[in-house]
Amino acid sequence: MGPLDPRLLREAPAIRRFLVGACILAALSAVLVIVWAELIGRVVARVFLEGGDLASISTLLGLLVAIAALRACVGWALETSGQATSRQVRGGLRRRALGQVFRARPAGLGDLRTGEVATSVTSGLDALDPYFSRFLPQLVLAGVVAPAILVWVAFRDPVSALIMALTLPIIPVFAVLIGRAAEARTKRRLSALSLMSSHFLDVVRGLATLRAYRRGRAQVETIAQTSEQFREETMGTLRIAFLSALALELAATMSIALIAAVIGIRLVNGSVELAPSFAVLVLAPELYLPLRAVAAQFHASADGLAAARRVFELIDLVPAVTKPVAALLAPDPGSATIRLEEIGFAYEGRNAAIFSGFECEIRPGERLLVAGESGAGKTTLLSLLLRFADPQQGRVTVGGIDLRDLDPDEWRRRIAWLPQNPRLPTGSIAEVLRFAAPQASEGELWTALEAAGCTTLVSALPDGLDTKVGEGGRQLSSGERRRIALARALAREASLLLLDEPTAHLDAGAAAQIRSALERLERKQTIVIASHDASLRAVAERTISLAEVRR
Amino acid sequence: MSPALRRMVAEARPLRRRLALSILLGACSIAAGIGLMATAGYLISKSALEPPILSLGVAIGLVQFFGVSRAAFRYLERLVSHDAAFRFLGRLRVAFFERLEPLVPGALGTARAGDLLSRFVGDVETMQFLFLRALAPPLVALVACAGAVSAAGIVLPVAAPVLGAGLAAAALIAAAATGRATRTSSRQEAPLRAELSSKIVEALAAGPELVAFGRVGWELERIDTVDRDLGRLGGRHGRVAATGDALVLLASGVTLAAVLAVSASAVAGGKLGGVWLGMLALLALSSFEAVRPLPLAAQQSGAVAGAAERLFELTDRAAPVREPASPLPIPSSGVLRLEDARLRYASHLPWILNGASLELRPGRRVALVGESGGGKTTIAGVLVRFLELDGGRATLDGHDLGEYASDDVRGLVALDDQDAHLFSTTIRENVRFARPGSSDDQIAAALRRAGVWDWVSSLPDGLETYVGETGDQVSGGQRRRIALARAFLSGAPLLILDEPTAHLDRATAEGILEDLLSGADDTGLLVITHDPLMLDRFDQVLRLENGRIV
Repeated sequence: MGPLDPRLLREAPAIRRFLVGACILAALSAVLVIVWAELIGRVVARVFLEGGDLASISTLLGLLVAIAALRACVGWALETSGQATSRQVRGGLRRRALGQVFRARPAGLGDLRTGEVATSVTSGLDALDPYFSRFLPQLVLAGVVAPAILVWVAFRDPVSALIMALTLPIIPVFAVLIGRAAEARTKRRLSALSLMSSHFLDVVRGLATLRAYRRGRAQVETIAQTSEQFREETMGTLRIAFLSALALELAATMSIALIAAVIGIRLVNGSVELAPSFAVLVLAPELYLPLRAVAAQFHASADGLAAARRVFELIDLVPAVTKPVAALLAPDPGSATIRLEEIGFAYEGRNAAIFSGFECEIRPGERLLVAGESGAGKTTLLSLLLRFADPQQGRVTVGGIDLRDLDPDEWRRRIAWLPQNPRLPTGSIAEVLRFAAPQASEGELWTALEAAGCTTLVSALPDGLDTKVGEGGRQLSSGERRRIALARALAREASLLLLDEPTAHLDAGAAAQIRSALERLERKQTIVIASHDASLRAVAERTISLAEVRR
Repeated sequence: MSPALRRMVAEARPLRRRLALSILLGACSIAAGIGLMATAGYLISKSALEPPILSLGVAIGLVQFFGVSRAAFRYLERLVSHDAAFRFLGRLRVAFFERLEPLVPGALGTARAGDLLSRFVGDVETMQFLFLRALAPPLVALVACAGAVSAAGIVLPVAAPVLGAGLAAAALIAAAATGRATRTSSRQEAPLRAELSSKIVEALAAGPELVAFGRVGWELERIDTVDRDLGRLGGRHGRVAATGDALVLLASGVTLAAVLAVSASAVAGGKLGGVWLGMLALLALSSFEAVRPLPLAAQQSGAVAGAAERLFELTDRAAPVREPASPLPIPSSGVLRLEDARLRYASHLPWILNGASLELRPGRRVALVGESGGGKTTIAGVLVRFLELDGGRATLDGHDLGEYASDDVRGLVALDDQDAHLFSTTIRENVRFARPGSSDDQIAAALRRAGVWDWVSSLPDGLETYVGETGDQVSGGQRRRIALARAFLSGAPLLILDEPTAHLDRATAEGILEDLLSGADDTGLLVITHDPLMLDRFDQVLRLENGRIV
């Protein structure tokens, strides 16, 4: 893995802009450090060899301070632009990853776990911060400043430049050589190591279970032993891993020592002058500094890139349904018949097919009850209509047009849905309803509430439509939630209304309220009710039983 | 230093010799780096006077020595400090585990105990950085700077206060700016971060509705708004930190100029040999190397302090049950009774048990049903002494449960928790720990009784099969059955099974219950469930409603 992930560069144009800016700043920084070193050399030579007094160097000292101030500004700009890029890239990746998660798992996260997805797009992405604000700037500095210093020194003192040119490559070469030697050993150790550090997590997570069987305190000994073993093994690895850092530092310090000695000997010969030599000596550590910083930040960068890859895994999720290149105009299900033709469907990773060769017709304006035991495929049927998934065999058509030829978002605009466990966002009643119908006027909201049998409920609330419900607001009973969710679906101007188990898990009174609301509904939409509640047959004009018709 | 951090440092006292050695080595390494540049400066200046080349021998030798020792000291320092950090970590794991042990699960509260424990582990692991990244760098810098200032003072007394002031200013700026940025950012950003993650979690949970109602874009925009606020704050704090770094760089420049100025006037005044000027300049310049790690250290100490605070907050909690001073001997079997039990998790929370009574005796099979969150698991917790009642009594053969040692009670009453943990080891070890020293035959018998032996024996590795991290290599049904086998193996005459069929499909759930209820023996059984499955097969069905049995 290189320090610059090509995928990351491709996905985040902000990085390219940052790299260009960083190169300019690094070039500026190289010029400044060279001028700075030359100034120090000049000051030392003037006072020491030419007998200059304080007054004679005051201008030079002033310049020195000014250069220091400029270097500070350049460093500041580099650091803050790294931070800004980091924020921009993280925000962009988060947005895309979340968007893709919704596209890939519209019916619910399934195999992805909420916590894991949330972590990888929040604190996981934060691991990119050190990569951008520290590693990349240092990498650019190493790439620009080191060659610039080398060129300048070659111009001032070719012999020192030769020493630098010979020792500089030693650093990466040594790092790679020793790194490789240690790698095999490290890898072997690392797997053992992660096993051990996860041991503690395992024991702590299972502590309640251990205590139930009186084995809690018995773990103390194991933890102590494992920790000690972990320490010994890790130190064995580190003794070798730190060798690469040792070689790196040794190459840097020894070449400085060598440069100093060689300059000294040539000064004695009188073949070089003090001022440029001193400047070269000041520049020598600056040559190795960014390289060492890059090496020190290498782990941060690896962590950051690993975090980015986890997010790319989310971005690479396959969408559940595809959007056609040229989408057809969605026919109105209020006037067009929906047909499920020869449908075959199984959930991924499960062998048992939910549907095979399933046929069904939903006529415009009718009220259809889809009955069947739980697990018979009622919710799946609604999912296919909502295009949370497409059937593996057969097709769903509306007015003769395959749903696959429609833009899924366009099609869903014609649908209102009451899910089995409606989640009401935290907020006022009006906000809850406008979640489904953003454009609805207050009057329209009241109409929807009335149709769902919520008028009494809402008008009794202290702030009416503006009453906060849910967390931190008025708690709703499960029956009230269901009716508000029904009002939410009704507030949407949709010609196809899908109701998933509208009366499940409600007590008899609440279920009756929903039922009577459904009975009173104006006939302007096609309604599909999926339910195992036989009493809803009274609401429907036609019932199909999935247990009988499927397969 | 925060009180939590101070307490944590006190935990490290037994390792103080190793820590002192590592600080000394770190300071030596930095001092060698300074020595390298300073002697190199002297060497070059001296050479410019064109002395006989042999007279440079000492200086050249010193330069080489400092060059080698800088790297060598650094290597040793790293080994010693990491070794000390891991030793410290080992101690902390044990110390905090011992403090945590009596608190689990009773003192964790009901919600998100798993997250709490995972964070506990993460926070303990963070403590390896207490010394490496938070404490050592400032101490090393202090020692190294003191050395550099003294060296400067020996060459030119007036240079010492100048260099000392410059280094002190840089260190203070670094610590102040980064410390401030870290403190304010953790204070101001933490709520926004929490809001961001809870918005994201909320959005993920509401995914289907967002998609169905075409509100994904709107929701992402709402998330972005929080992110932008966070970005503005982060930008401000980042700029403060960057300003700190820039000021340190500026301070090093100003200090260098000042040292050059005082040295130059000393040279001009004849108080200092000119040959020392270059040395002082490079000494001043390179001593700022010591200050360089300070901003990161300030940042890390904030993170470490936060983790330390959370650890102490958790382990300082009061133990949920008191152990008796002289426990009664435990009977080999008996009648477990709950009488008018009242319990709530905090005085501002509603009663979760409000006068519940039940009885559990060997040979009797009792089902306990009721809404989830209604207190069924709380009853199990009381019966195995994870929780203490606030009112009423829990008794064993007429004696208060609190009069027995709680481990003895747990030997009599085994609890198979609804999220019983599978440890990342073999099936054998996962069952055996319920009764250490059990033979493979006994384990096989327990697995058979849990209805999972056919599956286990069909596996290529049999009992040796590794169940994966937290059991993710086995299916949900097998997992529950392995946990059940554990309860059977324990040999406890009374068993409490909390939701043995949760998250299982109906066939598996019925299979487990069938196996459980068809076995004819003398075990007393309390099955807690929210699922009204096969209730007619129990001797008694109790319903928990509003904290009491109805």
